[in-house]
Amino acid sequence: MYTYNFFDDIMNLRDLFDDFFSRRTSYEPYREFPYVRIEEEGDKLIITSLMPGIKADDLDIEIIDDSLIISGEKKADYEEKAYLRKERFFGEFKKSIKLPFRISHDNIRADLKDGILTIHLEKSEDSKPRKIDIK
Amino acid sequence: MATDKSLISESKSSRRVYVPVADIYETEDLYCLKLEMPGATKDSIDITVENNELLIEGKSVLEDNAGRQIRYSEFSNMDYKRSFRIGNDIDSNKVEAKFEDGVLTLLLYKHEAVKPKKITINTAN
Repeated sequence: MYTYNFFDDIMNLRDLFDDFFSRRTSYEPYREFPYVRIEEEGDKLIITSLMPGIKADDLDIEIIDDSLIISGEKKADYEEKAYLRKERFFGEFKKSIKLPFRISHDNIRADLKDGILTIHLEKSEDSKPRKIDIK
Repeated sequence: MATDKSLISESKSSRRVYVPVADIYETEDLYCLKLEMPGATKDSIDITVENNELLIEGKSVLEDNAGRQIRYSEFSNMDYKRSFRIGNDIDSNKVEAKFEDGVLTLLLYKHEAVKPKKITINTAN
């Protein structure tokens, strides 16, 4: 026995929309390439970025004041072949990331592995919390 | 070749399923696919060919971030999944895969029988 319920259809429609919008590709155009994540752990700041197909030689990382600038070029690996699909992005890019505090210029480590760039930064001495003794 | 099958995100966890972007070209002997899967590793990628379907699945293995506080993020931990319908011109025993710098390259060789063959015309004297 089945009773028609109008809301079942509405829910199906909602699922249809959800499925459509969850079928997104890795690159969502409203964000600037490359995508980054900033994490904090005590006095350390860890920046992770997705960089598929980019070689370390084609990448520049700079620190200016409290901004980290990642720039470089993703070189096209197209061959002279009949392409059925071209979805990947190639070209030059530059992204500036404002850091939440000033960082020490001495302890910077950057690794690039399997298309993930990881930058380890440390807070500069003057942005570390300091306890003030009351006399 | 290269018709996407409908993909519905199955993950209910905080990991998100992404459809990796792909470049595909064809030559006389093979199809070459390049898919971007940053953070995945050789061991976290599964490639299966079954019933005319090529399925590529992978997990990104990012640095352990327990104890870290996320200040800002433009991506979530990723699972990758994409499938392609392939024709019967592909020899499923002859598939080569390479993973480098977050890019997966797949070479799918065609069966000998479907490769173009040049026929020479004998001239009758």
